[in-house]
Amino acid sequence: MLSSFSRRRIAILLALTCLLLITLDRNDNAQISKVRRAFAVLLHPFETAARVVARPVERLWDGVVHADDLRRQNAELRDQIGYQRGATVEAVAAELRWQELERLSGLSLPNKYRVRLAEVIGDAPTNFQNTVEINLGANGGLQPGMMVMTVEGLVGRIRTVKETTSIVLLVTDPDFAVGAQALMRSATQPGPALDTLPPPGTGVPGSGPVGTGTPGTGTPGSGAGAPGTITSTPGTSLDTPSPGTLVTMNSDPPVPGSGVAAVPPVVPATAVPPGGTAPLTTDAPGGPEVVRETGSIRGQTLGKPLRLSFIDDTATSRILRVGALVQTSGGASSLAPPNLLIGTVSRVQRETGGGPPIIEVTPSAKLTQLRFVAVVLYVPNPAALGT
Amino acid sequence: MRHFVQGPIPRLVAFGLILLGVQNTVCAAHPLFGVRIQLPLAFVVAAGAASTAERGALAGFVLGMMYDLSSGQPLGQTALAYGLGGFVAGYLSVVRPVPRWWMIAGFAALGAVAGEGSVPVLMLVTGQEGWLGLRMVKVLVVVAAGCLALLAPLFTPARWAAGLRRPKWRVMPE
Repeated sequence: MLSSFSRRRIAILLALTCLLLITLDRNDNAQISKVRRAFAVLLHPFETAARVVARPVERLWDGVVHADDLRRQNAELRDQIGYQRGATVEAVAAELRWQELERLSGLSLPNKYRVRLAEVIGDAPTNFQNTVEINLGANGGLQPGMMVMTVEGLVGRIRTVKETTSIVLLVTDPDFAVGAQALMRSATQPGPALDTLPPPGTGVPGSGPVGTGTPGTGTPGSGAGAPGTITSTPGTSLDTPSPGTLVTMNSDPPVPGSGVAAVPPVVPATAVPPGGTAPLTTDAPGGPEVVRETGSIRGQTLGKPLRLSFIDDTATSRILRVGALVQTSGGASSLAPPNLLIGTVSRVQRETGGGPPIIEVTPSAKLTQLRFVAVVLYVPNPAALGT
Repeated sequence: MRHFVQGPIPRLVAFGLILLGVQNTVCAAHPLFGVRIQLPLAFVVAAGAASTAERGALAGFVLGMMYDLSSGQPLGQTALAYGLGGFVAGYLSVVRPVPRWWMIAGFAALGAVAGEGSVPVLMLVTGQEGWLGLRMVKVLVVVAAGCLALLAPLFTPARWAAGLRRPKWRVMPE
């Protein structure tokens, strides 16, 4: 067939055919589209066969040529995985820290005590101290005797204040002692109400705000500064607290224009007799009857429970049960403001012969896992500090 | 019909399917210096160099059409370019009826350059701009080198596909 055309004619014929086809295809000719689809179907098995045949050859070639590159890439990827694992751990740790801070910022205190958030930066240097060091000192307004808390409960009190750091004496240290009270249901009330008792400061019947002294005046036994004042360190936000941030818990809406929230009602310290022995029985309208028993609590070194002793042990031994909540009792001679949760009664051992029972209290705060703490800006009575 | 079946087009189509299968899988996945070797073009220039200009042009037209059908380019674009490549490679038969091997290689390289080089020009004509540049030099060199490397193994099958028999020399009686 080709021999019947001259070379020039063949070239022109092919070129014109191509130009015609290009023109048709650029105008979206439907027939060409069909031919294209049919050709794709026709070509598919050939591509598959080529792929199948070429794959072993490709792998062999890659094994010969790219073996060193693969080893190098493998080492680099392992390094990257290591870095990424480290970054992941760092991110998880940061998130946990953030969650802990957030929880601490939501700390519920019985009265409108202001707190300062601090970070635990060190443990006790010796084997005979139950202390931790926090990154807040006199520069943050801390004073010896201030209580230190976490969301779970009381951690200890400030023992030594330096310019930028402070030493916190943990509740488990034998030197730690604070007035305490146990909250329990009356024996006449049925049901395991101890587990359902509301947390301190959230409306335990009969546990209303108990203050000692005049709030806002800085007098001994009062809340440092004006209670209810919402203030924060410049540059910080209450929404995202950071260690050193001054926040007020349970604060009412501030009074417009004054920047000061409503001052909590003050109840004379005599409302709770210092070291009082008589059970304070309260009965809220419609609520369960709660019995209070006051005394003092003392540490017994880390790892051991706290030791609670009541002044009227005979009265206590009859009603105290395991699981009773233990809070600070407050009072003029107490180091702590009232109603700060310390822990729960974990054991009550009654001695034969009518002796005082051994009452052990497990601290609510996880003292071995402290990271962030809240320092309650409550200045105790100097007499309680022994100064 | 019988004439058509025994002609070069069915053979070229058969070879084209195999070559396009390899081109779309192996050559596409393994560029050399960033340039993909053009196996169909190598076959076209081999067919042209092994036969005549018109048969080279026909081979380029058929394989180019198949290439366009598989690659989605405007139909006829690569066919025109490869047809030109096959024509150039086969033009040696006009210049020298009994060429030397280096002449065959030279014209095959010229045909490869013409076939590959005319693709972006035709793309420019059809409205696809941006392919003409300095990179073209590298592309043409690598493609021409690839065609030269594949010339020897493809020479005999390409001549068979183009429908040209090996010339038989006879001694003319005096």
